[in-house]
Amino acid sequence: MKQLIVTLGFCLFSVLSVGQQVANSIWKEANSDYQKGDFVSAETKYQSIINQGLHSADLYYNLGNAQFKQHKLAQAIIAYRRAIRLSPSNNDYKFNLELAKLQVVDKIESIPPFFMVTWISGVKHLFGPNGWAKVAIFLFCLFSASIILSRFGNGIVLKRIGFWGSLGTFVIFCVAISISFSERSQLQDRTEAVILSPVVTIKSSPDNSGKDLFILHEGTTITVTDSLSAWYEIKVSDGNKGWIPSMNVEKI
Amino acid sequence: MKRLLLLSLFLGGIQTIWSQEVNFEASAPEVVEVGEQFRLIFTVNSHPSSFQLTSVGGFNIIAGPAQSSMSSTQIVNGQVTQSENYAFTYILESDKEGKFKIGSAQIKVNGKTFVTKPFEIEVVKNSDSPNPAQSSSSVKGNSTNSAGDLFVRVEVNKRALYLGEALEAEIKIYVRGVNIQQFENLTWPSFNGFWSQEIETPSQLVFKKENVGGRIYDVGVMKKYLLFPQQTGTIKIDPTTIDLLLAVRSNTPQSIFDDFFGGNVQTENRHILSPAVTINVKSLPENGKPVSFSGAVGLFSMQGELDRQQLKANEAATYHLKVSGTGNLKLIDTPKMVFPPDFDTYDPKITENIKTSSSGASGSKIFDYPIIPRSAGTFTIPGVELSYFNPVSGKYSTIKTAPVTVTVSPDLSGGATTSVVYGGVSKQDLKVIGKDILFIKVQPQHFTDRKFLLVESWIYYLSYVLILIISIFVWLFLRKVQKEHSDISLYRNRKANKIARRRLKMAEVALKANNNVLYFEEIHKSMLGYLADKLSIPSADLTSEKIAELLKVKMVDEQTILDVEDVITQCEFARYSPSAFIEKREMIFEKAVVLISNLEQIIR
Repeated sequence: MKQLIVTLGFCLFSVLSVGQQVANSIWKEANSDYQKGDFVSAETKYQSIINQGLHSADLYYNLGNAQFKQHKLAQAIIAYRRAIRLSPSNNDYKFNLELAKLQVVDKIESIPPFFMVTWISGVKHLFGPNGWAKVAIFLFCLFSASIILSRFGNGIVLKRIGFWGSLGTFVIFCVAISISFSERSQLQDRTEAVILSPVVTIKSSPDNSGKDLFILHEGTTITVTDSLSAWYEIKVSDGNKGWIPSMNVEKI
Repeated sequence: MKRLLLLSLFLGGIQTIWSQEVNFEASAPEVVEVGEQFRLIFTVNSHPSSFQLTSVGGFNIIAGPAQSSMSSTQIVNGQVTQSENYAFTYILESDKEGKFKIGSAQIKVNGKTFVTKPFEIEVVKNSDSPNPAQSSSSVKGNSTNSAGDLFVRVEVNKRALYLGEALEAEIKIYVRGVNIQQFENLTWPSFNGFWSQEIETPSQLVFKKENVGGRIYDVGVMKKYLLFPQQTGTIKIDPTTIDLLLAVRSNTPQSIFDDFFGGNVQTENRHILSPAVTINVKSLPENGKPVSFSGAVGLFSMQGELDRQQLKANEAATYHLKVSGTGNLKLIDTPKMVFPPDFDTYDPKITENIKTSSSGASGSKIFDYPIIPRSAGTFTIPGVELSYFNPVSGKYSTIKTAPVTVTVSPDLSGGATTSVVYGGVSKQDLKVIGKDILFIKVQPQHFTDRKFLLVESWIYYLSYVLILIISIFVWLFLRKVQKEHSDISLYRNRKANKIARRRLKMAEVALKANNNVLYFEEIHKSMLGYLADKLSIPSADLTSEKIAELLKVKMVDEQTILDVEDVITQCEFARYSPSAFIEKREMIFEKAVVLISNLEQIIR
């Protein structure tokens, strides 16, 4: 059994590692292009790694930097947000994102969320979805061990530790696995999007003849709440809603 | 050589304008009396090579054609302007009443032929005795009629018109046979209900002859107005009042020059009043009135254009909207332009170029909208609509400018310079100065599959299953170990009584053989073995203290424990000195048997 797992793991690793080596050489070239100030070439190289189906938080971060240097504000914000999604606790990513956001024209008064929401999202962003999955599997190991301890523990104290430990680890395990799933669903139907066009008019209906409600500028982050053919219904963080042609935005 | 050069320079400096247009026209009074002599003059501003007049109708030519010429040269800043005038004068007279036609005249200038239009002269009955002096176009005095004839009128070219349509009003003074010395008090109508605009008239009164009811008057236009009615219904134009002084001669003067020497002239005050004029103003038809109509009446055209098709963000441009035509141009509202939302727009600058003439107000009104696009992109400035009422056709028309597409390229300075000027575009720019994004990460990366998610891969769930299987194996193993352990104790427990009884039987055999040592040893063994099995004590720990302790745990009463200890102790002693316990041997045996059967019941 163990041999099978090892073989499987090894196969997977070797398949991935071929792609890894190629990607890492492109990565080095792109980084040196960036250092020379050739941001256009650096961007295309970073993008080519992503097009291979590979990614990493740092890759998105570097891509964002190359785009920011070319004044591609909206794309840079999207790349930073993707980097943060993979590695939510990195402060460098957050710093550059905040700096890019300063150049966004729209200043939207966002309604401050309830402190519990901030706290929960803080906990959620301790790890990425895969990180939480790993935490869950670790907790599951602990849980099984505690159950065994509670049954076969030598002496009443060990048995008690086993019992309460199994209860506690089970609860945390459930939390971890549900966070992992919720992050996955967020990843699959991504609702947050960034405005790409320099300026775009938000309509009252999914139709060009709709009444103009307000305008948004490049780089503003919005939430997509609905979609109809080539239109998205969006919500701005100050609560305003309206319709926008979907080609003007990109989901994060 | 030098002189020649200077001369040529000098000659070059004198440039004569030859490209002047040839102007050939005829002039004559419109109305004359029978027997009156008048002049018919043809003038041309260039040297003619031939002159020919086709006909003079029913008029008699008294003199002419007399040719005269006049030339003038003007030098202004080295620019020489030459003008020439040639005139052909006829003196004509008619002895019949009626209208007579003067035929066209023909001249040739530089080989080209110019022709005047034929025109008519009306000849009316002579009201007074013919006076050759009347041919002069000045105010005339008449020897016989001291009262004379004098009145003032407001003449309009339309009596019925639409709201907002232009109307021309002339205030004319009609003079016949009196001499006006001085105007004293002039009151012009206030034109209530109209928006009035004065049309320039010569400051000096120019009199013309006009036939009113068969009499020739000298008519002077005192004021000319262009009126735009502002309300519907019947509007009355107030009368004009004029106070003037007339020169009245009591005696017949010998000649007109007597006036200059102040002959027997008296002055007379006169107050004249024009008859009121009523105008009927029709309201504009409601039928088919466009939504965008805001009161423009006339005939207009409109053009809109942007001064540049390509511009950068944060760069100013101007949208020109030009409305031209005839009508109440001055009253046209500023059209409401709708620019793309991200354009900064300012109030338009309005330039009017309107000529007010007797044909109406015509010209153009230019609206200049300054705009500043704030973002890059391709924008379309939609057309703007203007609706007007055409009084000639009696219908509404709507004109629209074409939409203008403009491409705005991005502002590479990032709007940093302009945003300071206009303020409020970028919210925290000052904070950003001197800050830059952090540098890229360069360490080698462990790339992962972009779509790979642990919670979605079967390996993840397989690992759960593996953990579960491993746990179950561990569980089963531990349980087996525990079971084996507990089976041994149970066996010993169950077999304890049997073993004990077998030992006791062997003790009985030893008793019959009279082997006392063996006998006590067997009892001792049976007792200890039984307890060790029952209490699962390994033989190494087998002491009477341990046995007492465990029996206490098993809730065995004090007396039994003491008895057990007593039996074990006596047996141990008897093994080494059996003779001292010979008489007790039956009793110990009995006691052991009773204890074992008792314990068998207590310990399960």
